[in-house]
Amino acid sequence: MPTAEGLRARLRTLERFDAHAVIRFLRLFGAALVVDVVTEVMAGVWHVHTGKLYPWRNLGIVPLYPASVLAIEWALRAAAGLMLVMGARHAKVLSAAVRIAAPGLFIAVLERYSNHGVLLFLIAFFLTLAPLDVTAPSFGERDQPALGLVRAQLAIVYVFSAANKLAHGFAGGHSLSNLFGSALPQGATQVLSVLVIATELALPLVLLRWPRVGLAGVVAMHVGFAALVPGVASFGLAMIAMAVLFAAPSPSRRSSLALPG
Amino acid sequence: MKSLCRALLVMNVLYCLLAAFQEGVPGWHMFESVEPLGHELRDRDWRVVDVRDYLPRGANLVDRGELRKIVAFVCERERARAPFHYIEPGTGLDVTLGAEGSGPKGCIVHADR
Repeated sequence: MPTAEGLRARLRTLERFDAHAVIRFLRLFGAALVVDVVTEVMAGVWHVHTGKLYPWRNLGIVPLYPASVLAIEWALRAAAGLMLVMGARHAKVLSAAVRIAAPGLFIAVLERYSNHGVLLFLIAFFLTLAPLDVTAPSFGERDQPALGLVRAQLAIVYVFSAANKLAHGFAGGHSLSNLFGSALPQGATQVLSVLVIATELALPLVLLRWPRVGLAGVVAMHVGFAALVPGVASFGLAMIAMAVLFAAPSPSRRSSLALPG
Repeated sequence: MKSLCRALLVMNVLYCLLAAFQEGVPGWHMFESVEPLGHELRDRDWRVVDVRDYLPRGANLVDRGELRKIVAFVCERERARAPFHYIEPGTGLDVTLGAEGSGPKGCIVHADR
């Protein structure tokens, strides 16, 4: 059966990556870091640290630091994001960017826990494990286990999110009804809830077998989430970035960005 | 490098399994259980207090326990407007918070509902 054979062939090259796809992933990840900082600035997180607002999502492990330290944290995270957006092709820039981002994001999660914060930290952390050089000759022919971890993270997020939703009765639609109030009728929230769970379970497999279809699905789902739920744009961008990594190394074009000569 | 990455992957999955089964452990929980959060908070002049004014914009409140902590924060921060009257129609909770001389504990929403 061609589909099963294709899937088996794909599984054999699971740690191989297309250099062009990796560049797109890094730029999108950098954009997610910048969007995350902009979202926090616009949301008034500054006043969480001045004490004017409730200490939203502070885990209590590390006390909230002063707003002046938050300014440094924001500057470092935004700088790392911009470095990734503009310098993803340069190994040294990439290496410096993830080494700045990972500790900054770790501290940010301790200060203000969020799913998107954890996701951004994990991606940055995985990228610090092995130096990436997308311009190296035969980049696409060598295994990249750290990038494999990033790709696996997408499946982990979707599968465990769906499993937790199933375990807590999300499919009944009441959670979305409570979230959106009267904006959506009960019937619609139930259909939407089932659709979200089914999509989360299906997307990792679709991405593996039909990367372009899967990527379109990830984009559609997260654009929808971002339109309906405030503050989730950076999470969506990070998920789209990871989905881009599912592009199979193409034999029909050069899979590395090595310069001629 | 490969063995390190595989070990991290296994630890990652094991942690997610723990978070799925253990209440209170942070995991990939995303809007799976949004509680009904109907409530009313009024100050001593009977003016309505919007707890969202004390949260970052776009903060998604999904948990009644957290709502009550925010109410306690508002009560503690706005002592000049105390006492506060807090009502949860869904649970039947109806309490006065921050009464004169009650101290910080007077702002805590004690409820088994």
